Amino acid sequence: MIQTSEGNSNSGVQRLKRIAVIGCGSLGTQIAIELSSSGNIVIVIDKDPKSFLSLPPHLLEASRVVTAIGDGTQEVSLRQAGVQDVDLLIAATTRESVNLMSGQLARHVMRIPVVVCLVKDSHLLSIYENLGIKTINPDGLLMEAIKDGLD
Amino acid sequence: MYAIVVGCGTTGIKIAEWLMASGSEITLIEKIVEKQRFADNLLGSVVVLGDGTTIDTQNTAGTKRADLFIATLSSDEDNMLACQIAKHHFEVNRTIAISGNPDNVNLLRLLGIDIVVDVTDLITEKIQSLVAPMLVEDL
Repeated sequence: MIQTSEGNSNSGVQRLKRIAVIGCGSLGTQIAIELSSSGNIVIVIDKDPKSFLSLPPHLLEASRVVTAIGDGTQEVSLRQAGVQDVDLLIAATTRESVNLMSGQLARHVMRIPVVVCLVKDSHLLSIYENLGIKTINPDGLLMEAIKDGLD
Repeated sequence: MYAIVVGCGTTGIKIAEWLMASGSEITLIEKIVEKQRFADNLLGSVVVLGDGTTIDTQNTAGTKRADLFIATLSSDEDNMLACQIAKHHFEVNRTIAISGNPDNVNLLRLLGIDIVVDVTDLITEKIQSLVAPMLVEDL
């Protein structure tokens, strides 16, 4: 789970996290809704402006979710979207290679502290974990859920 | 030398022909059936059908014992992924990617790909060298 509170904060005031999501498909949309509803600011980036129609208007109006048209694999697009100072970036497009390029750009060039990539091919997980990228693997999550259900 | 070439477009086939002519053993990887069949007939049963951006297909192609890995796909992201698998999973010494977008060249180098061929830069230089003499003539 993604923590929204600062573990070592002693001021008692929670700082809002700024989170970037690459890809506004069904997963990107879901992430944006969940994370903005729990009090964070979410920047969603997608090449296709039509993809933003899936975002709930009330979150956009309240500026909890901000959209930016751009290519998540390009530093210029990410900077234009204001991604350079986010706390977390999640690459969740349908293309594995795009997620991994975007994620490595964010982590190793833009020095974003935490980067999570959606990776469908479970064989790739250890390679990219070793390269400093956190991964989410849908098949792995499903298997865990099924095992939990059997227990 | 054993080389893997990903992508049976015109570039991939040309490189494979040259490598074979210079005495190298090669395997190509192509995911579109028609292109795989065409290249396989042309070059003599050296083309594996599959996605070169997966560990599975690279394993079938024998990437583990390759000395050289060349990604010639049209997508820079796919070339990056293919080369990173070759480098980090199969420990290939030399990886080469072609890149169609000059904005990606530095990133691909930073991400550990040994040689990144900037296609736009090559074409621009070639055109400049051809056009420059004409500009002098016009003066």
